[in-house]
Amino acid sequence: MLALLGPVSSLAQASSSALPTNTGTLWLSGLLALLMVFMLLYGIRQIVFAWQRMAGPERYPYAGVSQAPWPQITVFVAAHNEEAVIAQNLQALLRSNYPAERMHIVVVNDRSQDRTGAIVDEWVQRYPQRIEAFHRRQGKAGKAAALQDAMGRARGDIVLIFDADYTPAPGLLRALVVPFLDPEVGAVMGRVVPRNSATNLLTRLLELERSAGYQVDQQARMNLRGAPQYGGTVGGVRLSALRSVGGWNDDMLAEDTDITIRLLVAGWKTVYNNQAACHEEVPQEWPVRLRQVQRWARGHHQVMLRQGLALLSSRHVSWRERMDGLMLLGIFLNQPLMLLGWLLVLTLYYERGLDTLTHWMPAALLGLHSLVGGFAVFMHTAFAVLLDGHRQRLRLLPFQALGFLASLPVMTGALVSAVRDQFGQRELVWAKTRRYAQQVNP
Amino acid sequence: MTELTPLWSLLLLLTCAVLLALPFYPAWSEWRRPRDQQTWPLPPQLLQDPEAATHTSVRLAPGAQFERLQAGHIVLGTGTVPASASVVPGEALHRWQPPPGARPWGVRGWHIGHALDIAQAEHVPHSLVVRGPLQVHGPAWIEGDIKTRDQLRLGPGCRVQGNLFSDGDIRLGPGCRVSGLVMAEGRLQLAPGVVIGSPQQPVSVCADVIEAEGPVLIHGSVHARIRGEVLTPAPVSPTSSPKDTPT
Repeated sequence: MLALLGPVSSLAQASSSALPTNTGTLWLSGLLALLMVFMLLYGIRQIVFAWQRMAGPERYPYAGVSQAPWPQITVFVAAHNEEAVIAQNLQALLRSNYPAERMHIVVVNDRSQDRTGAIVDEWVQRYPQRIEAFHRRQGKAGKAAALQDAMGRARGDIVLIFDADYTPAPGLLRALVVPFLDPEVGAVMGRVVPRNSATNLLTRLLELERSAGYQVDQQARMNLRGAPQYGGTVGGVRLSALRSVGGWNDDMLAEDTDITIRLLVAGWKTVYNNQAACHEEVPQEWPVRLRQVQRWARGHHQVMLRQGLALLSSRHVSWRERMDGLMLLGIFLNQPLMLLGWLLVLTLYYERGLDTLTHWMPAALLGLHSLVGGFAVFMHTAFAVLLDGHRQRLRLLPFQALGFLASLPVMTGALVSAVRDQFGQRELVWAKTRRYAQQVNP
Repeated sequence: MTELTPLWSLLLLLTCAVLLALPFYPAWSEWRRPRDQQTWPLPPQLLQDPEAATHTSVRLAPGAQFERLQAGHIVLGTGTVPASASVVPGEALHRWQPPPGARPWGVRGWHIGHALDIAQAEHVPHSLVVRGPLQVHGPAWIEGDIKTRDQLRLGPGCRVQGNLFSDGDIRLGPGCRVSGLVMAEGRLQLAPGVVIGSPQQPVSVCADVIEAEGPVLIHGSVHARIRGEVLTPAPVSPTSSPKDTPT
């Protein structure tokens, strides 16, 4: 590759002697070089993660724990207009093999305007000892605000959280609770698997994405002793840890990333369990999907702006965790920065800055990024799907580029919104992800 | 620029377009005629009932190797485990004081950012998270859980009411009693007279390598991820203390 690019570089260098250079183009070239390095780092990260998973052992030290002094837990079900799915969620939770006398279910019915409240009340009447309803009729919007208000209902120190569209298998609660027996663990995350993956092209692509995100990304971070992420559902937090870092931030869009980083900064561990899987419903329409991604990206940026410095300077974090945590926070910057990179290249071209471009950002860097960054994301997904044992569906991989292109403007918008959130005092508007499931009666 | 340049350019463009479009053929065919679109199944262990604590007994003789064991009463090695060799709560013990720099942790725990030694005859009414090796000079009584980033060594006659976790190795000295589960990412060494769990509260014991110098009694399950072995006992020295020798 370098050999191929050699003549290009020499040609550009030859032409550079003939063209004038100005300070502006030098700065722009320098900025472009920085962007390339930034994106190159993410490409390398994805390759390291992918190969670690493909060739390295899976680390989950709590495997083999089947009997334990099971602690009292509270399962919170976050519900906002969930009439279609809430019943099957409660049904699944009641089938859990976690000792019933040590498990309390609290449905956080957050300002629902449909029949969610009535359905939950029916279930409470049937199982008054096991289910409690927390009807929240006012207060700030958002899951974090609702959870913050409901935390007073918790029994015990371990809190598991599910969104209402999840249907946990009987053994899932035990699998999620085991790491909490370790007093250093502040949060636990399980794996999320799409239930409606066969619906259309989007859901199939989302299944590939989820596979990459959990099978490779989360597990590699666990294996490499980095900073696995608590994802807000199919997981839980230790209440005393949560309180020690100030509870849920009710003005955060990504309360899960926020709590992951705040726990990390304080020295608590987050554990990922690849076997603790749960089915979820993924968006079936592109606008719904793009709104979801926009919320995630904006939330990540919010956390980066608020917690980035604390993570950088924390005394309780190892260098691996620090680096992993920072890269986690910056992951949604890739798309806007790529757009910026394209803009810079065009500007430099029309500003006759290609001469400085060759000085500051040799073609080798560009080539390396194309080679590493361009392929890393596909390799990442391909390895995850292979690990999951689904060879055929890999053929869909080229369509991933469509998702990437569709999310470019959305993620750029999310960055702008997050900066405005940080410096203005705007109230957050919670965009709920649409549900598609048919209603199940108790 | 020659007359052929536009032709070459067109050829290059066509080649690039074909190379770019080629992977979309199988993608299109998988989309339109799916061959692999079933929902990913959940791991079977999430769908099964948990293994019940049985009332059966398992006894492994010295030299035996194992990977997974499950029973209400697992004895590794020969001989009988002493009824109570460890320190009894209520005995005259000093109340342990956290070292300078320790941070409050969780409900009633302490976080220590370095290696820690706990002297003999101490009573620790807390959980401990130690970012270094921890040595407890038995006998001692620890009411909470323990987690260490490095080696964890409990001296003879220690009693732990919580769970033990270590990112490294764990060594439980003669006559130690642990009510909760024991999990080591490295090696777990169990000295004679160790008792883990109880008939009322069976627990799991797991580590990469488990070495029991028997007799060791475990109520619940044992999982040696790489290798488990009951070691052949060393000849008993006439000067051994009664605590070190199974009765």
